[in-house]
Amino acid sequence: MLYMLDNLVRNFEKFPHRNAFYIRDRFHTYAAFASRIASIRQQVTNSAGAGEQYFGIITYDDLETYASIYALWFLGKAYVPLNPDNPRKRNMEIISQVGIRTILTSQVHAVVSLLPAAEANIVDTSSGAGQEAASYAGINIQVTSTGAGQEVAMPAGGLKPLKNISDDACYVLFTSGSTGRPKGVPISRRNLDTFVRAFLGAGYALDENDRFLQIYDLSFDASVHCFTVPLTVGGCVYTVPRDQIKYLYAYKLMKEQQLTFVKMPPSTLSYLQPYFSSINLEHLRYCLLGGEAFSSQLAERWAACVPNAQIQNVYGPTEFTINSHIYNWDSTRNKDKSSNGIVSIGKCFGDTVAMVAGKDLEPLGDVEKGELCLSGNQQTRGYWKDDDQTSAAFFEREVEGEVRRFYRTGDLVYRDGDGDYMYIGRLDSQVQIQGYRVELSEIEKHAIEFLEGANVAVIPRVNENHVTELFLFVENTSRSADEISQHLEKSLPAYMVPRKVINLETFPKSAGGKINRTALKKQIPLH
Amino acid sequence: MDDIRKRIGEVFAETFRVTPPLQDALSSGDIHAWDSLNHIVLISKIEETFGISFELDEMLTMQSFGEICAAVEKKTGQ
Repeated sequence: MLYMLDNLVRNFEKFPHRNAFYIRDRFHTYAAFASRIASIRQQVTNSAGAGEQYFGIITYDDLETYASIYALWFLGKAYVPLNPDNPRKRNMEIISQVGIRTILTSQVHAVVSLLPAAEANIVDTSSGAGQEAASYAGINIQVTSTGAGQEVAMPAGGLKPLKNISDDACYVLFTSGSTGRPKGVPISRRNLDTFVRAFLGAGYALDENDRFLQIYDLSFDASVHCFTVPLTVGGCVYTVPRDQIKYLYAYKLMKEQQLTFVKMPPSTLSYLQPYFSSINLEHLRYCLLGGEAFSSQLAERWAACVPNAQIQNVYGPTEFTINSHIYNWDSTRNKDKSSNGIVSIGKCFGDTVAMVAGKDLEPLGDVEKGELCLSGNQQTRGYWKDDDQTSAAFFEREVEGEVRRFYRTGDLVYRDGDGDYMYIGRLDSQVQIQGYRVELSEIEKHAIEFLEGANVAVIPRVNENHVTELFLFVENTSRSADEISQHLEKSLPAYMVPRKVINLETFPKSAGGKINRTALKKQIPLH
Repeated sequence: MDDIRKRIGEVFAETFRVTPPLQDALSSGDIHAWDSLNHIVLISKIEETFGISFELDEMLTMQSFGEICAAVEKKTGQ
């Protein structure tokens, strides 16, 4: 059986009156959550086509959105998050790549602006709208919100997951693709269940009294960590609504709701850094940082704010289901366990096998620098309908007498004498922005398209707050910076839109005629 | 007081490409570019403009244009 769903069902029975979610100043109990799942599951069963496996969910900050994810999981189906803040073009690209026929949403009005020409079916998961289903331009829209007092009773015999562990997908996330198109990563029930089980087996003392932060956008896989783990142990998930200034709202939750477990991108700490002297979060027991390089200086300073917390640096690509490595930060070993001022990513956990590979993809020894490659049950089967990208990123190698399939992370690392992995940087032009993976070439492709072939370059720079910012250089264009930014905002999520557009008459070039990116970086204005 | 609002409005205009007059309720949910990073830029520009500096607890109540104006008015004693 699926560990995380079985435990959730057990929590429905054991703790019906305990809180499962805290969303916008309101608590929701496990019983209320179960009831929403049951009703949305019914709605999906009634409305979806036979054999339909992949469903869009428009991701709002409400109980219905989370209940929709679980309703699909109880049915053995997969969700594909559609962020309402994303440009329409990007959501349409995802819908068409996956061939989504049915979309679940708690806010039906938003759908019309989101999907003007979409061809899918929309499921209304809101409780007010009753259980009306609409069809919009051929897409089945199911609205999932419930009107006041319209709670649906739990089915007799409770909620039982329909399917056991399997290789069927449970979510498909899209990450930045170097070809200019977002790249789909399907994660199976086996992948996710392996992660949840492995993570909880990694030595955490967590139970129904724990209060967890969920700061991540649902189109980012760290979000899955932040609701599956709490719901598996019977704790409560405190969400950060997307229209809030995230780092401030997260701090408010940590302080006022006395959160005990948080996972967040290091940039959240960078933003809070000027105020560290006034922060004392003594209830916090675990503080995980992940999604970006974690500066050891920042760790040192943050430690004073969270006197009772174990600080951890966690690492993992979307293709390997959330996290593969954990490092228990320790102030006394901080200097030995950082490389270039970046905290070690530690060791892998669960059934994961890690290898540092050289250019020929053969394993390297300790302290040799190479590409981090990962093998195990958390590994995706490959990119969504993209055999070329899949065959480029996965390979087989015999390790200790067993042929294993490895995923190439594109991260340059080395392993120290203790077996701890040290992150050095990327092997390609991918950067991490607020925890998101961004391929610089994807942004450049959109700019080139708009500027009809002009030379462009996106240059990342880490600012004084340790936050990575992007700058777009364009060569000799008559378009204004605003026009270019506005075009990019229409095609790309906000975190991928460069902070500034800089127009140069001519780009610095290397002897070979290539754009000299190092020279460009020096031309980024200080403010 | 109107002068404070006007000057804060100018900082908003410069940071977010919005055109004053601005509504009190205007918040990060209404402006695409108003994310954590730009919030920091916005607050430091306001701090610089008025020669003040905010504590973290004060920042928690400064989520909209109106709230930011009120916080600055309080801080500058106007």
